[in-house]
Amino acid sequence: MPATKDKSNSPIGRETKRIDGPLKVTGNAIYTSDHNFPGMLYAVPVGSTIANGSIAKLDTKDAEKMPGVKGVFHRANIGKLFRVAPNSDYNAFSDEDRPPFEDDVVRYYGQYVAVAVADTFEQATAAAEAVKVTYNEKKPNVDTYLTADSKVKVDSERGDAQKAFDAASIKLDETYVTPAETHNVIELHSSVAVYDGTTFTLYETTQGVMNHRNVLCQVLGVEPEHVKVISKFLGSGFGSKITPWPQSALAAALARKLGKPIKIVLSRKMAFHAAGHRPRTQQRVRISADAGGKLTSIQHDYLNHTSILDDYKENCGECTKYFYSCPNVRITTALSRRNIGTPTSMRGPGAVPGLFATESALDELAIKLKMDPIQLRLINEPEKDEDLNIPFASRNLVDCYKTGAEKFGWAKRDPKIGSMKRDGLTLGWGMAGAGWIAERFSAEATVELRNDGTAKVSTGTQDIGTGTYTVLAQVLADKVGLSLEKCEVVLGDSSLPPGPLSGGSMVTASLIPAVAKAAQKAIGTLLSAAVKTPGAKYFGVDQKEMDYTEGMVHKKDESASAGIPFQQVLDSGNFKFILGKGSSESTFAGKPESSKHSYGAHFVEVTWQEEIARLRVSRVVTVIDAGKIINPKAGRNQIEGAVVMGIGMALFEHTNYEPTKGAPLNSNLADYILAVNADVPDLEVHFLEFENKDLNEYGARGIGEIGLAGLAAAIANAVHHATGIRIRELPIKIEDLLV
Amino acid sequence: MRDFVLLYVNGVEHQVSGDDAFLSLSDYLRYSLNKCGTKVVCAEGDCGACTVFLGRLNAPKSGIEYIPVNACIQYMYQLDCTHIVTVEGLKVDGDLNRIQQSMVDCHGAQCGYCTPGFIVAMCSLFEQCDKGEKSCNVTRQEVSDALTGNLCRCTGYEAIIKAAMSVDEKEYKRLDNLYPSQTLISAFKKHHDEPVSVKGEESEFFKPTDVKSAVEYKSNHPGVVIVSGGTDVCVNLNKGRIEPKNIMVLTHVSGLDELKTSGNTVEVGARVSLRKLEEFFQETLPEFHHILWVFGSPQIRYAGTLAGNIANGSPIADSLPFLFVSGAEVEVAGLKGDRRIKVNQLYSGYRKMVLTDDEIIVKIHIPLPAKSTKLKLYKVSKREHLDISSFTAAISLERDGDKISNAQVAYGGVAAVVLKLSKTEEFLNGKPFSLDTFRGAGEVAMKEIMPISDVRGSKDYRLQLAANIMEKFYFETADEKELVCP
Ligand SMILES: Cc1cc2nc3c(=O)[nH]c(=O)nc-3n(C[C@H](O)[C@H](O)[C@H](O)COP(=O)(O)OP(=O)(O)OC[C@H]3O[C@@H](n4cnc5c(N)ncnc54)[C@H](O)[C@@H]3O)c2cc1C
Ligand code: FES
Ligand code: FES
Repeated sequence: MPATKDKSNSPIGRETKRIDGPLKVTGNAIYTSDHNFPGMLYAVPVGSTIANGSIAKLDTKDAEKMPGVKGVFHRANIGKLFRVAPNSDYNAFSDEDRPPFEDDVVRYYGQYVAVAVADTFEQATAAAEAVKVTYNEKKPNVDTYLTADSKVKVDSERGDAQKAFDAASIKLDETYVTPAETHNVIELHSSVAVYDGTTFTLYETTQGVMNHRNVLCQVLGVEPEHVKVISKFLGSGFGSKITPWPQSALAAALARKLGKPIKIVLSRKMAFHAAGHRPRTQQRVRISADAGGKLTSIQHDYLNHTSILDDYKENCGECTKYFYSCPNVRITTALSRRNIGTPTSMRGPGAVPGLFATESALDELAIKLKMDPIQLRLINEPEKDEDLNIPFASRNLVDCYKTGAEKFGWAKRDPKIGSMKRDGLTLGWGMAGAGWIAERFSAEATVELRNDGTAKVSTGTQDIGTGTYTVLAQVLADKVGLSLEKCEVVLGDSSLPPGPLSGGSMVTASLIPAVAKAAQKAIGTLLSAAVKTPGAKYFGVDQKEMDYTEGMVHKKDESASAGIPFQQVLDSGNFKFILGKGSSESTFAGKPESSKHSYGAHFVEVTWQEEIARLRVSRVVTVIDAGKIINPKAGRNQIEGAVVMGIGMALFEHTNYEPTKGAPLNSNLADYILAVNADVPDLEVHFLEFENKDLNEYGARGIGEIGLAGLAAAIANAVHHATGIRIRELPIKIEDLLV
Repeated sequence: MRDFVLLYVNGVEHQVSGDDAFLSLSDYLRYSLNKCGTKVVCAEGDCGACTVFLGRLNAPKSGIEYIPVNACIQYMYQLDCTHIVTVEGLKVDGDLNRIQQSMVDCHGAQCGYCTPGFIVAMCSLFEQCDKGEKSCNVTRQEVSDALTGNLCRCTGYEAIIKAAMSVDEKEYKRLDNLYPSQTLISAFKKHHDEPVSVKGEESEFFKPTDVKSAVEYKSNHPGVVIVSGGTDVCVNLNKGRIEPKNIMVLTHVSGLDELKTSGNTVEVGARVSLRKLEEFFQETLPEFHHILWVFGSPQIRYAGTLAGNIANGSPIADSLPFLFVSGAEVEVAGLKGDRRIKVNQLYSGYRKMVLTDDEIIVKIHIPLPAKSTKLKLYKVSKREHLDISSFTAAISLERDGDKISNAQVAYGGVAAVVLKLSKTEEFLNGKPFSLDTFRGAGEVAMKEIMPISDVRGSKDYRLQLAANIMEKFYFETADEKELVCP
């Protein structure tokens, strides 16, 4: 029963203001660390000051005697904490598997060795500083040069890449490096735990309330129904809040131990230690082509660092598999262990570092071939997904290149190095392509039609800042044909129907079918109530003859306005609300029928002034092919944010581990440099909205990560065009350009 | 002696004493008052998420002047006789104010965590403009400048800038209209000149109101930490690098907030903010103005002082190279009276000044360069704004026809203190004004410095800059006809 088919009226695709905007601009949106409870205590973790070794002695006496201190907790007195059982599902997914304090071994700098609890935050901080720890210290390994610690695994293989490479005359063999990067989400990781004797209520800043519950119940050793995770607003995550970090288990364990609400807020420095990061990658790319530019082989052998205990893989070959047409491809992966905290996903994991390597390599190849880089890509545009041997659902990368080239004015590019000038500045023009998976997680949602004429959708997902509240309000408004103001969205609570993780840009796509089904069910029940309620207008009418249009219940053979508002049906039946449940499957199971991705192209201009060593990204044109954009305002915002983050990635971001102590050196926002508004270039974003409904009925794919993919390569390519210097290790350091 | 700090928060009076007086303003708001709209993200002035308005009596004591500051690096003892307005206090008659509405309309808030800070910083732009003129058209550059102290990880800033650009200044309702200034003015006037001292569990602070008692307090309390704008001190407090027993705040010491020109010299009181200086030098000396414009962020410049920059004595303090080459002097007050010290003779080692235990800086005298002087100031950093320098330089000289005279060269970030390069100066003096001369000077300069490698740049990079900057100076100051392209 489609609610409304009048497209001009549909909220889908309409520029829509964030429904949570007013709360955010007045300081009234409540985030984790804003929760306060009577009797609440503050906990501050003690981080190890070595990166490798073990605890010899922990002296807490002085700390315990300090004013306001309620105790100092560690392995001997915190109580048992468990591991998450191995699980291939995303049902309980953790990156750092070791619960805090499991043993006395220290494997990374800043690993928690104790935690101080006091009445105030200041007292707890002072007590944490007063805990004396002696260590048996060993030299840490934080080497930046990566070698495989484990067996090299083949990610994907077709043809004989080595043979083709050996036979080729035009080829390239280079290694590209992306550094460890720290997410530096603006809201610091924090946890507030309340325990009532049976049930934990955990106020968390998490990209997955369901996952967080599923992990924490195992860590705490209690049934899932005894853990409730709440996350109504979060100050973004970019991957760093997908899985729980040790402070969450500490807060919960302390709340149980002390019978008091506990608040832990990490410092910026701690967030560099035990809250995830994008690992360093080292990627050897070998490609060959024939004289006409047709690729004959690609070998992409990548390594990434991981922690001592956890196997985090940065899937750098993700795009390489399907991005170019090439008969001979081999992609391998291996890990290199370091005394560094556990890495995790960071915006566009795998594809973002991977495309830096392959899209830089393609630029280098184009130069060898004396060919325009777009031309090279057009020649190697595949007709199907050659890795899975299935058709593409919707791939319009060529249109992205063409549209971008036109908007940017690429035709005016003189390929000669340093040849383009403006106002005394040297210009560099570069481009690169982008790709990101488009899939769905399983999802459940409920839709309620209420007797006050409003509707509500509830699901256990969360709005990490991308605009999920608003997008779901739009979907609900579309499905029940009501105005946006009448649509309420409830998220951020693990007791709601299980919703998806906010990861992989999949929330919107995953929820559309579930919400649609839930709305359809609710409307079905409504119509059945309409014909079954004695005395009501449509009592006794065959339900098949009934219809629902924009809030009105009516007979199919009459106009909507001749019917009755739906709340009247509820009133006459004396129902407070009518509820429909809907669910949809994940698209990960089984062999897909089509290969689903979002695509994009970036065109970048840099300006270079050698004497004062100033490099600036002055102009970016980005074209995105991500299907239907449900809220163009939010969509453009996502891409702009990603592009600016990409400028930071290309020019500034780099977590620097000091070799003797293993500590991140630049663990603050003065030394870990993010782009500021003055770094924002002249920025154009275009969406190509090709229709394809393989993923859901609106044809909406994710847009959270695609904007970052490929951008660093486009910048490095532009820098080469300006300076003649090829940067294969990010970030691009001015030092490297001054030769 | 008053034993509490008197302040207003969103129009409500608070008397703060005991340990609460030793909290940062952000902790006081969030923990003591449970006002959690103000966010803490870095706790060291780098991100602006904690930005609030600080209102205090203006110089003629006739009104309240509101400035944006980072609440994480303002401690309660600095805030006597101030009115703090937080993001929660900006609504107009219960509705969003014009800026808040615009941020909603333009999607300036994604996750929303940086938003409160942006809102206050943006309002401050409108709060500052006008100043009696008819209208104030906010340009993109002004918006961008006003927001350099605020980091956002989500939006890419574009939507935020648009939000500010689409506000008509006339629709913005000023704080004076939300919080009638009369009550505040009379309360502050009454209590402004009272010295204050508060004892906490472990520390004590003193707010003197005249130089004499400040000097006496300092000499009686060795190790006292002086707090002016607090933009250096409070970062150190937050990082646990210092735990002072005694603190003295200079916020209300009379006579320290004067800024004037006397003959050819500019006199800058120790309490004059960098922001005031920035405005002052806009026309007087654009070269120095530019250095002040890229100094930290608006929040830092509104709070921070030149005296603090000098006394902090960092080898990469942005004001120092200029003060070194211009022959500026600091005037210090002590038990034995006042004396003057040349800034380029002020330092005895890394962050060490030659002051005696009782002395404080009261004034800085800056001789203005002659019209004929060729002066260039440089700051090299990764980001142009809100970034600590990796290298700084000041070069100044005269030309007698073809010959160079009176060369003054100072480099920062190349040793433990800012260096005056006397050998380089000697090399330049009397030489012809030519590219060869400056190339040669670059060589000499490289030998005169001793840079180290750190997170902001390698040793080699700094050496290279030391040489390059000489060439750059030549190209920037040479007459057109002299320019020979390398
Ligand atoms: C985010 C951020 C960005 C920054 N950016 C820059 C930058 O771009 N360039 C730069 O150079 N600096 C920068 N700084 C450092 C700082 O802002 C400046 O050094 C500022 O000038 C300090 O002034 P203040 O009044 O805040 O000093 P305070 O912190 O109050 O004091 C600094 C030192 O001076 C002493 N002191 C202050 N007044 C006197 C006095 N009258 N007599 C004797 N001693 C005194 C104090 O005891 C203290 O040791 C930045 C700081 C932050 C937090
Ligand atoms: S919290 Fe970052 S400036 Fe205050
Ligand atoms: S909106 Fe998330 S940090 Fe600015």
